[in-house]
Amino acid sequence: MKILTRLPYQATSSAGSVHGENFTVKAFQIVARISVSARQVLDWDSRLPNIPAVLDTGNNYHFAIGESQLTRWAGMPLSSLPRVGTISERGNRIPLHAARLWLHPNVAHHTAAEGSEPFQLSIDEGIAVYPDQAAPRLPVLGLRALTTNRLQLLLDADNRQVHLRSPDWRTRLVRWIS
Amino acid sequence: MAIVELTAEQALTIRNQEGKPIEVVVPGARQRYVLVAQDLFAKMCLPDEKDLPPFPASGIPEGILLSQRAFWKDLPELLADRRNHGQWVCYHRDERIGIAASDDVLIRECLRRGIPMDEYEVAIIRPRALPPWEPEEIESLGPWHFHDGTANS
Repeated sequence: MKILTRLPYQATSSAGSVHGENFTVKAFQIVARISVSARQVLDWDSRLPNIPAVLDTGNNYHFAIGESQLTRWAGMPLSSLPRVGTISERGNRIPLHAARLWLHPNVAHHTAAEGSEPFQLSIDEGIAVYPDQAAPRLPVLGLRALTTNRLQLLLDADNRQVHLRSPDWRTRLVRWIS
Repeated sequence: MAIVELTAEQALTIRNQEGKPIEVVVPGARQRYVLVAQDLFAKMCLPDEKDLPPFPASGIPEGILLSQRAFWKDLPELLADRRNHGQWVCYHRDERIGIAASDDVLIRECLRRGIPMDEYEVAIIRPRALPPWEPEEIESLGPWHFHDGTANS
């Protein structure tokens, strides 16, 4: 299944907004649209807002989000996501909360969400919820989430585009040929 | 702890008992004593598992923590069967709810049984260096994720 199709990223910074709050996408940052729900929400709920998240393969965790981003942007009260663990980052303890992520397919060649049902990302170790003073500017989708969900990421540098898909017979064929 | 050296005859008696406890009688004393091997004594001094604090400083709800402990205890056995690798497993406290290719099936079963969200754990069966409740050291978010290139701004 195609999830991100020719998702562009820019060589210069650009601006966006979530619920009236402006944010900057820096040059060479890949931004996807994500929704966050409680772990036990198994069917897509179209009322869930989608928010920007930087796709960062250099990040070795699943997903990082600030407490205010979670409540104000994603519309999820922390109380609905039970604590399941902790990570340590430079000696700081960051709580992990059980949650489910929904990755929205984009309109090809655009960063906007297409509007079809998003792809469900299962996160077995929980999402990292940072206190606001240590939170990233935008939520971060890390390599572990892509790996856990067995996704295939392709970067087209010439066109500054990204493709992301779940494995199917085509990907198995390409793997076999290469 | 005081050290008392036994006579050769007493030492031989202990050896013949092959580690079993020995009752020691002190002439003229009403108090009876039992002599046990040091490793057995160490085990006897350990608190019972049920006496351990169920809710450590991690802030994990008790039901999830107990489920994580059950998962961690079973993980070597689960990994022994290669067919389990990459599968999801779910625990409700000590009970294994099941093993499935995705977490959906397992969570649906928890919902069907009316198990609250803070009473179960779902995890992928894969080798793990740390139990789920222990903090893993994660690479810091890069400076590009912050306003002016620093984490403290």
